[in-house]
Amino acid sequence: MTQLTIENLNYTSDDARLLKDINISHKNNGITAIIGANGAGKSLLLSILHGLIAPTSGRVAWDGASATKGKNTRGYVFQKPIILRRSVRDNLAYPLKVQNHPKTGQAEAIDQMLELSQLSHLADQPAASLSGGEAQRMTIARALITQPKTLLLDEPCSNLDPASTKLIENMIHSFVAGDGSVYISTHDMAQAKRLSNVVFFLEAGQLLEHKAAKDFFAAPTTREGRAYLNGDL
Amino acid sequence: MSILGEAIDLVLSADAELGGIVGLSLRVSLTATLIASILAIPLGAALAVWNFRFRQVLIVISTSLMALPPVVVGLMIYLLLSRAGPLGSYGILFTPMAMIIAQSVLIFPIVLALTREAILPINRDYKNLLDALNVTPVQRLKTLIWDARFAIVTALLAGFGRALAEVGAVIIVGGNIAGFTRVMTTTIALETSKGNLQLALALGIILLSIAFAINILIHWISSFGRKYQVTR
Repeated sequence: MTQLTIENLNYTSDDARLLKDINISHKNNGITAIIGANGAGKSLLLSILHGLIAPTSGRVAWDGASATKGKNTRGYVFQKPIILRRSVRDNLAYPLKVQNHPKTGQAEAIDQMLELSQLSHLADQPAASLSGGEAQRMTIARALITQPKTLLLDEPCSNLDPASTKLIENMIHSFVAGDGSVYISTHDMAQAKRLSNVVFFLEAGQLLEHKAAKDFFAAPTTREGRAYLNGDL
Repeated sequence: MSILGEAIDLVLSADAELGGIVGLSLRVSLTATLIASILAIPLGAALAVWNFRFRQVLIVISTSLMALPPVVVGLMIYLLLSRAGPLGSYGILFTPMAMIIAQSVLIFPIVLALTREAILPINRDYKNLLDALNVTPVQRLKTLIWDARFAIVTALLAGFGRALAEVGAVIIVGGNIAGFTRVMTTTIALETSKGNLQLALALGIILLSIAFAINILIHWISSFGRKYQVTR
């Protein structure tokens, strides 16, 4: 279980305040959905949480350590799958190689991830030949192969059909069952409801609600939260 | 028998003199390609990936140098290696070593610019992932060079082809000494002027065949590389 601490987080770009005074202290033992309308700051927040973008001010820490440290303990999946120009198997091997994991057991770990992502039959194909859903499953498997404690997912199912979405959700569930914690940004309300036990609701760069998912979906406390659930935002 | 017929006969007869000339040409140009690539591939990758002082200046210079006239390179190396030059004491002017140096200088900007161009789009695609995986700068360069390998091999073949076909630089620094620094192109120039067209044409046929083979190889490697490119 990891402790996420965000203190007075602000991000400004070209005079626009894209994230405003966000404070969170959160011990995640399941799936946290980061929800909000387009442009609310979901993807930016996730990037800052992984230390990919430095905040203008404020602090982000995982178990007390700055977000720029310990990237190897987290996996990150981008909205648009980033595919290495290699076979599927070599894509999965890549993080193990660059993070200097011991060679023994790598082949087994790759086979296990191929099975989890249901890509065993495509293992030796160029990853560029995968469909959108297959490619996203591969990138999640690639993020999971180093056995991170936390998985950060930036709208992993946007533009995917329901069957592909279901396969990806199964992968997320199996990671959480192994005691991993997940932060997923999504604007798919049905998916947020299905998956999450905690919700961060962002609107125009502000964190308006941070609460148990069932409470948020049953009775959001802010006007913006109600408007968002009603489809008015 | 026609000149062409005699030339073909010469090629097929595995003539020792002809073999020596072809062998030296290949040895000089392959070594030059190897030396140029050892320096140009990492530097080309670095120019594609990192922003540093004088980067733009280096890019402009390297691109301009792609069109470097071989005779000018020959002249520069000649001045460096001649008795009065700064490297004159090594006594390598009019040796195959001098020809290798000249061809390395000639190929270097080609491999550099083509490597940089091959790596730019891959770096754009990979940047976020490599940042997220926290790879070291050296791992980043190795990854990009490996995944651009098909385009880089194509660049090397282009450089090799250019080295093998040039005449201006090697004739100046090699001196076209029979049995020592005489390569295919310099022999063609000399034998044509002497009227020995059979040997010139025989070497021309071999040069053309090698150029043709290189182009087939480039085409084949490129089509293989395309399988790994993401087109979405």
